[in-house]
Amino acid sequence: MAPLQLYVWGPAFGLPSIDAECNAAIAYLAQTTSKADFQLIQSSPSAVPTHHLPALHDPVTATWSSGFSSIVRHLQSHPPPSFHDHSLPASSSRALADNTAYTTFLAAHGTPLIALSFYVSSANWTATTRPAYSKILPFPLPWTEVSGIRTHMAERAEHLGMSSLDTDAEAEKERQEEEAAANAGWITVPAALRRGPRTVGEVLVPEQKRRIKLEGLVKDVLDVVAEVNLSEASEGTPTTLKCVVYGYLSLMLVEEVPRAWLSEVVRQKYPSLTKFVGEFGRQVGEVESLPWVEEHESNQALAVQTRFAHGVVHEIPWIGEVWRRWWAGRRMRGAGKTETNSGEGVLLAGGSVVMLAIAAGVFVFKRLPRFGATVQRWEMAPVGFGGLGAAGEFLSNVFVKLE
Amino acid sequence: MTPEGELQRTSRARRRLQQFPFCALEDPDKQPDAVDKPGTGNMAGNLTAGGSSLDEHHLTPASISSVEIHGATNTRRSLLDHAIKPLVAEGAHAGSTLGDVLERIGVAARKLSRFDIFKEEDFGCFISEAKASEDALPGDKKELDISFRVKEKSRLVFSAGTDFGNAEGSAYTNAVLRNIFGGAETLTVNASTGTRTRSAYNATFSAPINGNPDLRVALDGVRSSTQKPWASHDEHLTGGNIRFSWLTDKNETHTLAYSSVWRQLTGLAATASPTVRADAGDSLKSSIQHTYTRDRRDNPMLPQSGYLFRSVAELAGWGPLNGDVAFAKTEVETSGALPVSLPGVKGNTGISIGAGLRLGVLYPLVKGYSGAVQPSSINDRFQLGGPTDVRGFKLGGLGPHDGADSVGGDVFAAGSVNMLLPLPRSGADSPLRLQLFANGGRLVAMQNQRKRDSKLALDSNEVFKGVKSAVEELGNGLPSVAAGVGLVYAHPVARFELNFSLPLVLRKGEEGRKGLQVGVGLSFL
Amino acid sequence: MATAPPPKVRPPAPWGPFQIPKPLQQLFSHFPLRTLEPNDLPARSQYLTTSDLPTLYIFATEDDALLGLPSFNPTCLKYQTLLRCAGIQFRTLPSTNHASPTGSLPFLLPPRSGCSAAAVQPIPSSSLLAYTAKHSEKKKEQQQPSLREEAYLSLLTPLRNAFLYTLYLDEHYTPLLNNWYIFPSTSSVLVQKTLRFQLRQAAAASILSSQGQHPSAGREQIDREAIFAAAGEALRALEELLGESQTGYFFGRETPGEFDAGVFAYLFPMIRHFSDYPLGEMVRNAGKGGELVRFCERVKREAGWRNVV
Repeated sequence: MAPLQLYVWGPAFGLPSIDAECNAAIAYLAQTTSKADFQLIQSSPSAVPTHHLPALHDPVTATWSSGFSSIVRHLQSHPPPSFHDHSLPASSSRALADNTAYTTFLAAHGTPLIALSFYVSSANWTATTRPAYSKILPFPLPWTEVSGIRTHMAERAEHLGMSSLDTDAEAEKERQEEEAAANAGWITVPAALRRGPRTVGEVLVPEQKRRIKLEGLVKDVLDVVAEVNLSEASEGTPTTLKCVVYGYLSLMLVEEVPRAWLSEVVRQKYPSLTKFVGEFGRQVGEVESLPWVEEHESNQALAVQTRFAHGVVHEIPWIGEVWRRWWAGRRMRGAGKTETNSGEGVLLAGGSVVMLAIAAGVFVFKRLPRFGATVQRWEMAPVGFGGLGAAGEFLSNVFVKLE
Repeated sequence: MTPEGELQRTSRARRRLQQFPFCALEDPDKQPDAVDKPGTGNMAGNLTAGGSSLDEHHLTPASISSVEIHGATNTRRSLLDHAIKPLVAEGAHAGSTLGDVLERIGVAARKLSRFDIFKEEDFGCFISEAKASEDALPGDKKELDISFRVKEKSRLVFSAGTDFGNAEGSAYTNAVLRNIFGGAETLTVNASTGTRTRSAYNATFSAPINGNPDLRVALDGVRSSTQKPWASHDEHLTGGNIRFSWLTDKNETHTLAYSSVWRQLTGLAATASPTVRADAGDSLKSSIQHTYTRDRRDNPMLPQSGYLFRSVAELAGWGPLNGDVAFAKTEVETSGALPVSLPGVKGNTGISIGAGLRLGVLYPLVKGYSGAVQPSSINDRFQLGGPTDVRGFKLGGLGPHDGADSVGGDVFAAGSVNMLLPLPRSGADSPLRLQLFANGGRLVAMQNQRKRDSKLALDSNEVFKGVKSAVEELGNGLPSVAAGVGLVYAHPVARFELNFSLPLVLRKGEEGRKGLQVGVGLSFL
Repeated sequence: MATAPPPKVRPPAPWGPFQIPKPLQQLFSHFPLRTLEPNDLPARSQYLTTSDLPTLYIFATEDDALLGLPSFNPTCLKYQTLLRCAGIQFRTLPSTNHASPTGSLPFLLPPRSGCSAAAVQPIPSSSLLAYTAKHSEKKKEQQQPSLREEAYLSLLTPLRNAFLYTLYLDEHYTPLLNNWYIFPSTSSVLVQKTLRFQLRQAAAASILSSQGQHPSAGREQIDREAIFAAAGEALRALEELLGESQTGYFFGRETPGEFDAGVFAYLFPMIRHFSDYPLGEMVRNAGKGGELVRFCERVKREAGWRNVV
């Protein structure tokens, strides 16, 4: 029987994946299923039909499930031969309810914290996160896929009001304001003159200035998570919840970033969570010991080129959008989903027809003869010529010919 | 005032009409060979030679034998017909004199230039005597060959620059596709951004109807985003209109337009007043509008004599028009100036006295065919005040205010008197003037005569009473008035004013402006 | 939910306060010579913004708002319920997201009267809880939400996703979408089409984003089964949580609190408007069955909507 295929973001910082949800999914498979029954494939969203990682392909049912909860649901309803989740069936309906609540909570509130640390913070993004993505994505995919990830993650953390961590954007904003002021005719003091002796506030990097607020944000999330009973003895705690906590917390604890405020706060304030992540990580096993396989080697180079080409097309305004929708519809059909939308094809066809029509119009217009003439002549009304007799007749004929 | 863009556009168009050159009579040496046939008596030489010989010839019997247009390589004959046919039409030459002929040529030349497809500087008109035919009756009757030399303007022009509208400066890029199908059709695509306009995109296709340059049809598509700081919001417009405009023989312009615009009132400032908040959102205005202008001023930027009359009438949302708002709105503007002569000073003293009056009423109507009447919302109501209408008040400084926001009114009246004096050094011919002015106005909103907390909609009787009492309110008490002195500089592109003014009478909430105020615009009260 | 762009704080005038010479200042102080009574506000503004009662601007049809009926928008309904349960008298008026200081409804305008009323600042939804506590007639102890409550509060996200999916992306409910959000905005078919398209895009982006997917991935990438499975799990968890409480409200409260209002605001429209399938069905059958429906009835009674079906 063919093993399950789990497509995930590749490993980074000594963790199985750079993405929290992928980590949780890997941990869940590793905890419940024998390594012979599943394969891990390092990938990116452009390679899977659901366009989202983690994605599980089950060759038996020929279906794709995407996202941690969907994957767990699929595994529990179509278990592979060696599947065994020792926390199932749930000890109580209360435990089940708690599981749902805390899993949802962490997915909703853990991501913004990780986004702040790894994506919004310019220092961490440049020194750690972007290089990590470059390492796990085959060239030239980092060009098309990585920048979108940062903007998306920044959006998810937007409501926390911490965009000042993105010093690049801040500097850009300042520069634009100055330019606008200069354009409006207001005199601005040159930067060199403005800088007096540097105050403590100026020397501090934004992560230090905002430390108290950041600690508060971490507290808001992890105080709730700390409620979960994660100790070894707790048979009642569902494996899924443990995996989710591990998925998010293991990333928060990563120390290989220049501004490691997140891991510092977690280690300092939540030793029990830190301890749990360490122990659980050992249970999951070393990254290398996991059953990684290469994506279909035969046509991998071609596939990467295709994904890159798609990425480039997506960047084109409007056309990218139409293309994306059409392609998504096609792939969904490929993935066995029956919901199709024939409107997309019509839209694409309509777009092409319009383009062709415009091109044809321009072509025909260029070929049109001139509308006028170098000399255009009007004669006195025929009555006038009539008076001239035969000569007039002759003359008017001549002029008609001339025209 | 509200249909700002519209007024602005017509005033620009009007200026263009006035600037059209009369046919230029050029030096015979420069004539192209096709015209300069040896042995033909050349009238053009005589015409330019001096007044006396012209007068002599004026009464000479003359008629046109032929007309040629050189250089209209991309212009359809059918378009030129409209201008040229009258010259060679039957009966046009019975008993005509040279004077008549010249006048008719002038009319044709002006028509040609109004197509706006020929270069003004290369426009030439040459008149030569046709070779007399042998069986022509003996006599002085001259047969003339007329030849216009034109150069077509480039058919595709890109331009960029700055522009002044009423109380707004903007930068634009513009692409003009001229004379597309040889019938003086024009496509203009315009993108601009300005002090108040965040962004505006505009595409206009216009063409003369039946080859008549004085009767044009235009199709217009627009998308813009404009700041309305006097009411703490932005307005996004997306829409289109179709316009017919014509110029009567008495040099009056009419414009009849149907427009359909999606307006989105959004981007409210944090301090926006409840009134603005209550009107935020989407609405579609579907309306027909008629504009009439009769301009008899000597100089629209610095009128010393003459008068202007303009009226705008708009009907929105009523009956088959549909849309989300329904009202009838009309606005009348009239202004005039009289030169003042001083005893002992000959000719133009450069002193003039001017006055202006503007009135407007908005009358809410039933939307569609039946139902209740909704009171007007902020983007349909009039605004009054600012450096180009009632000076000495902030933009939208008159009328009902909710907090700092000017929320506009349904009925207004505004008037001004001013005196222009030349500056001691520069004299009467310079575009600089000293100005003394006093102006004032009232802007009143319609009230609901019923007690509150029933429904918003009114019945037609209540609307009538509301508008009636608003009109009566106009005369209740002194109008809000300001007076001051200032400098006026009339540049051909726009008029600039720098005024020092003080408000004399105001109502609570109205925003006067004490001290200096700068005004830049095309039409002033 | 599409939100209007957030309000901009306009920068202060670049020239700040500069000194006016003394004599000029003295001259200025004499003007204006006369100040008259203010102009009255327009009829529309008087009706929509002045009242002796505070006004809550919500998504509703004009008739429903006049009668104070429940809003169909969950966020509006939540605060409407809270205010009503707190016994605060207020009137409701229909509005749009463009009007709100936060970019999304609801917001509350304190009472103001008179024709040219003094400027009052609207209260955004984020401050409504504090307003409710301050003005409530029924004084009750303010209890800080427990950590467990915080965790369960996140279950509203899957409910929201299912709600958005049903209303915006399920063609079956297009008439409902039109009646709620499209037709009140404009009568123009073209504008309606544009608004509907924009709303659907925004709803899809919101769902995708909350699931960790890229918001521009497109609505084709939304996994319908996953959304309803997650909503089902959330409903079961809520039903279980409600069962733990003896009082009929969540976390042992005697009267509906913020959590109850938040849950009610999703469940009630689901039962009322999506009863065909699948959401109404899911709410009715969650867990042991019927408890969530009975909960909605209790909140309805408490909020004085006894007769609303």
